[in-house]
Amino acid sequence: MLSPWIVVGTSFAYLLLLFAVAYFGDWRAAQGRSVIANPWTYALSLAVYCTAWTYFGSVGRAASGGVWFLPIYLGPTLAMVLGWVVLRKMIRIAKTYRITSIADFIGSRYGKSPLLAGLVALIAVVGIVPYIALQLKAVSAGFALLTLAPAAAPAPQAHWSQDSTFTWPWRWRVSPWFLARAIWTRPKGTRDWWLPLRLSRWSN
Amino acid sequence: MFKELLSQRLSALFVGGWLLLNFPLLALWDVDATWGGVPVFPAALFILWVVLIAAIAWLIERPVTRTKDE
Repeated sequence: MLSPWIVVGTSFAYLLLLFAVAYFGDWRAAQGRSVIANPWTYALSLAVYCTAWTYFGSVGRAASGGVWFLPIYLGPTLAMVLGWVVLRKMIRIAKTYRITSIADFIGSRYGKSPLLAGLVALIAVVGIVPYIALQLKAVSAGFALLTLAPAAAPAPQAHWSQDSTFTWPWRWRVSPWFLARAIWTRPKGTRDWWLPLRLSRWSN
Repeated sequence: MFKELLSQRLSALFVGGWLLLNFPLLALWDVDATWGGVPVFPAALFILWVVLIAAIAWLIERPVTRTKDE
């Protein structure tokens, strides 16, 4: 059992470390000695694929169903076989047209249709909601696991609208910090009317 | 050498990996036996995974223009 402040403090220290690494990467790139333009860095950065699902879902699946936790990692490996052919082309197109989301990508491939881009964004939002919920639930379950005494009785189940897993993200989402970040990170030179639908990019 | 065939080789590897990691062929390893104490099925999956990664690395990293540096 740990003090909540230790857990929160460690989390923020880790976040600061990530910012420091990003700052270092930008600083080196600006000096022309980039550490980012490196196949090892790129390959290791693909580890962002490991989310809360990896640490909670996969372990749970391995415990309950044995080896069937593996296909979720075998699939992307198989997809990366075509990475050189498919991903490279997608990255080239995205860089040329300064595209940062799958909605804009598909929209730009079919006549720069804003309607299609909006539709894709909408589908992506609906599709990603359970996934975001899973991440948040894992974070709050992990927090509870670290801070509650092992023998403590689990807290009585609150109504879903009172659950902190539900209420916290909304407080974050409408916070000025998140709105400011969403505005800063929009693609340069575009007037991005689909901003409110970009939950997928906000959550990255 | 043969650089122009890289896409085709990768596509062939993709199809091969797809077949090896899907069920008609995967069932080959679904036997009640162990290799050095490890059940055959998970061991085979991990070995196939390593082989797939090694094959990608080999295809991509094969020296094509590097012969000039050596």
